[in-house]
Amino acid sequence: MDHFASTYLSVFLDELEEQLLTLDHSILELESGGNQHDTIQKIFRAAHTLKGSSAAMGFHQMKEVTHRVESVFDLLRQERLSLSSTLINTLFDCIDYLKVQREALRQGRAEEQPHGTLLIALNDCLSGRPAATAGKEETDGLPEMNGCEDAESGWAQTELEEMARKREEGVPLYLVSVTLTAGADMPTVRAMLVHRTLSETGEVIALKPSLADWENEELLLSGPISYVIASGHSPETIGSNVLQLSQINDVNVQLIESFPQPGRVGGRTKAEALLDELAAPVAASVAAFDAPPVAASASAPVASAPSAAPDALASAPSALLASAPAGKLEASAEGKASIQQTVRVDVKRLEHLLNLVGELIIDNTRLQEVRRKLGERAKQDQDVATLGEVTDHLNRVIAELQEGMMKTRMLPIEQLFNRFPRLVRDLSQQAGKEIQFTIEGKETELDRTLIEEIGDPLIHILRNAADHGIESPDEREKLGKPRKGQLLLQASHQENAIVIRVKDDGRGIDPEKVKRKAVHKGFITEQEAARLSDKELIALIFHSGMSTAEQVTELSGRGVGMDIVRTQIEKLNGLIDIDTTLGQGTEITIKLPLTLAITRSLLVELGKHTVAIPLVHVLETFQLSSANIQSVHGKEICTVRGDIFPLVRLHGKLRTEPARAGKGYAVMIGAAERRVCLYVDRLVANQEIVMKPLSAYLGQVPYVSGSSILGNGSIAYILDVNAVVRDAGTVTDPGRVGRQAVKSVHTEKRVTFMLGEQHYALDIGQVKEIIRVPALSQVASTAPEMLGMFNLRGSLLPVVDLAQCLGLPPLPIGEESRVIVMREGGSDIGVLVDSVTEVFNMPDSEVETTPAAIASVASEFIRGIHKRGDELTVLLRTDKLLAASGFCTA
Amino acid sequence: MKNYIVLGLNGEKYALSISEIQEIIKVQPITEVPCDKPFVKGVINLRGRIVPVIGLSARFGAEEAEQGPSARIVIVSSEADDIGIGVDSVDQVASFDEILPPAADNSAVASRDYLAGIGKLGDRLVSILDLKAVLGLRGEL
Repeated sequence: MDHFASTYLSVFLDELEEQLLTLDHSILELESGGNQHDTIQKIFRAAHTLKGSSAAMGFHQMKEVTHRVESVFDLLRQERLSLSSTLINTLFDCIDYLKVQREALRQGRAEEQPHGTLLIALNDCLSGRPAATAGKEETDGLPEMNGCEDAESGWAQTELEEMARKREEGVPLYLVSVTLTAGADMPTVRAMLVHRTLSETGEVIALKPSLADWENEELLLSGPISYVIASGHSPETIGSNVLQLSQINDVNVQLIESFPQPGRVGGRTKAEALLDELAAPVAASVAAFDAPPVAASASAPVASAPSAAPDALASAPSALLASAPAGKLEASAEGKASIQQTVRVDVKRLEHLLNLVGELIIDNTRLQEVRRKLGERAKQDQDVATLGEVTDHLNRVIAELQEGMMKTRMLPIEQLFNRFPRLVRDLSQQAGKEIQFTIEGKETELDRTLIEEIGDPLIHILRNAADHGIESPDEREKLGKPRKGQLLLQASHQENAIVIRVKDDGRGIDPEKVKRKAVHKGFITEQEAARLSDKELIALIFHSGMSTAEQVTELSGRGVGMDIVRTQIEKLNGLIDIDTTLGQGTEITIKLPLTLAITRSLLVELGKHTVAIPLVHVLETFQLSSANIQSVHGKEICTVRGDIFPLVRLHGKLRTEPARAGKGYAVMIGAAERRVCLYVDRLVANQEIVMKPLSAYLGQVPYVSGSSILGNGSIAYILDVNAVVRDAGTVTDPGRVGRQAVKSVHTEKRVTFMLGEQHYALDIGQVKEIIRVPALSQVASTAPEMLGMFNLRGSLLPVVDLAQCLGLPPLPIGEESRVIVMREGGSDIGVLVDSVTEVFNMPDSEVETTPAAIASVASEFIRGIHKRGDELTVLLRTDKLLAASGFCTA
Repeated sequence: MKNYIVLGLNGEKYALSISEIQEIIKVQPITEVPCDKPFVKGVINLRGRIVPVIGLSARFGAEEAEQGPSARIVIVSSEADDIGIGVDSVDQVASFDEILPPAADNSAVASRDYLAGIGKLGDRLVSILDLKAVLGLRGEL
């Protein structure tokens, strides 16, 4: 590859990438929406650009292909060719070919792959034209084949039409004639450089000699090269830009005046009219250069060229004018869509800056702390107040700086998502399905590294959905579903995380099928499988080697997909969740942190260590009492709302002691689809931390993935949630937790309390929380047991006197009195009791269903009586009780 | 002639080549690390960087002496990472007239494996440490 090519290769590749995306996107649009003029125009232009640049880079095979594509679309836009699926598929093949080329170039292989049958296929499409449009041609009377040049003017038909179109849009057209220095090196390259330079100021829409002839160096050197460009810039700017290139002898920029009559002139097409107009002036300007009255040289100011030109043009038909009125130019410049200015920056530089911002954040947190301490010590001090102002301001600036820095790394997920419509289309075609693919939240931004990493997992998931999820059209019809399956890909922000959702309305995942497969493959035994819940069974699809597809297809079913998906997402500190309903569809949710370097984390204390848990992994926290903890098969588990989670204590592994026995907290953490509860001594704070790797010297530190410096300068370890979760095993790990045993245990916990002298009990499942008696606001109520309302974190709850409900005398409110908040009949209600005594195991087997009325309670409100020593406890049926009192509907 | 920094540890004198030393800081709070190397005391926050610190006595298998006011952390650079070495005191910068190979019956606590030689400083003998060996970067990891 010559020097020119290697210098511009990266520019070319970028352009190729961009145009390929446009092509992909537009052709899909075309396929779905029929003949759309704008789309065809877009494709035509993309193909045209690619043709030009690949020719300039010397990639002839690519040029050939894009040239044919361009021709096809030219016919399409003239409606001389109609769209067919063969045509679309051929076009996609072309794009694929270009993609293969691009990859080869990127890897440094400059040789082009042969395009094989592509050209033949394209030619077939082209030659299929007359059949499709036989009637039209005669009435149109357009010149034969597009791309062929008109003998007189030297402008191709397509070029003339493009000019006419630009003209209609009101964009000024300029004829730029460039003469190369005699004996210039590599004239083709020079000409292409001019092309590029002109492209910066406008759109090059026509060339003479045509691009195909540019390889003929003598032709380029022998006369001026003419470019027609549509531009909002002044002719001076256009000219001077070109003159900055070396080995350019002269540049002449002329405005092409407006058409006398756009459209048909007499029996002629507008293109033909333009053609005539252009033919003569071009000849004239060529003459001007042959015997230059301007005596133009490379150093001559370009501004002189337009003013000098009229002399030479005087005799020519006045289709071209030397200079354009300034006002008109400005107007059209405004009309042009504003182009976003961008700078390409090395990612390493950004990373470095981001690291510095990280340092600032740490120092800022420390500064805040010092300021707080000083503020406490000397409240009145003027200097401390000033310090306060400064730190506040600094805080804001740093926050903004951080946000700004993060944004530089952020890219809209569009970059990734735009690849998928094509993928889904191909998948659906190969699998013989009809799929309506919808993308939402394209504009959602996330860290660029994440965009790169999340692509493969998403492809796997989409493949699964298209291949296994969505049924064939016939099958769907039988099931009473629309023939077209829905596939939704959605991205959105949720606080500090990005959530990507892939949802289909296909057949869902059959837990039984997964079970059979897992047993068949020997991942679990029959007995173990029998104990698993549906959700746990479905989680087995993340097991490597699982694939429920009956057949291995080209698309998926190699049994590695979901395994890889999970590994990848865990690597990115993400979570994955599957929600599936048999026969109705599957929804896969991926939750990822916005960025990897700075994360919001929950700080907890584990003995003497402060440990940060990335918030994206934290599902909930709750206070742990011994009541929640049980031991099953020597493993601790805890029960949260009926679900069972392994309880992990890391103190031993981190070589530290729990702060105090008993009263700790549990943090429910999740990685991919697994959840465990982590026992911690104290919850400290929720704050932004900057991840720092631990020195490699330390080797492997168990359950620590990194470290961070806190506001007070101390060091916190970042918990390796994946390792914790992996080692903890989960309830899906069958040998360890007897599910049946656990189930019976958790339903038998009761809260006991006193009403007067009598013990009563409630199912713990009904109890939301137990609080001290709040201030009650009286409400007008006829029911004497209705004590009033109170405000519980924003919602108003009624409080009833349980004693009165049971027909007992009203309770005095004392020091020990408590309100038990229960969820009953769909709403929350507070129940006043004398004192809450304990929570204990009251197995159903020990509850006697004595119908005899004890105390004065009507027996229908009693579920049974429990005897413990001499103590009798009445187990209440609150639903009946409250319904009878008229507060809830049972 | 090479310059060395003479360190005090458990009443013995050791030396490290000055070119191996980045800086010497006062002792600061060390956060323990539950890692596999028993001689690693923990990590410190050195101006925003997290640097592991090893205990030299622990490395030599001796009892850790109570840290006095003269205790320091010597920051050395090894390969990619900076590592701190906790010592009882930092005494002086010295250059040795003569360096002997480590003798088998060395009176110092440190076993021969950790020594690069013995330097004579006046009438005292100073054990010159082999930094790589001390850090455990010499194939015994």
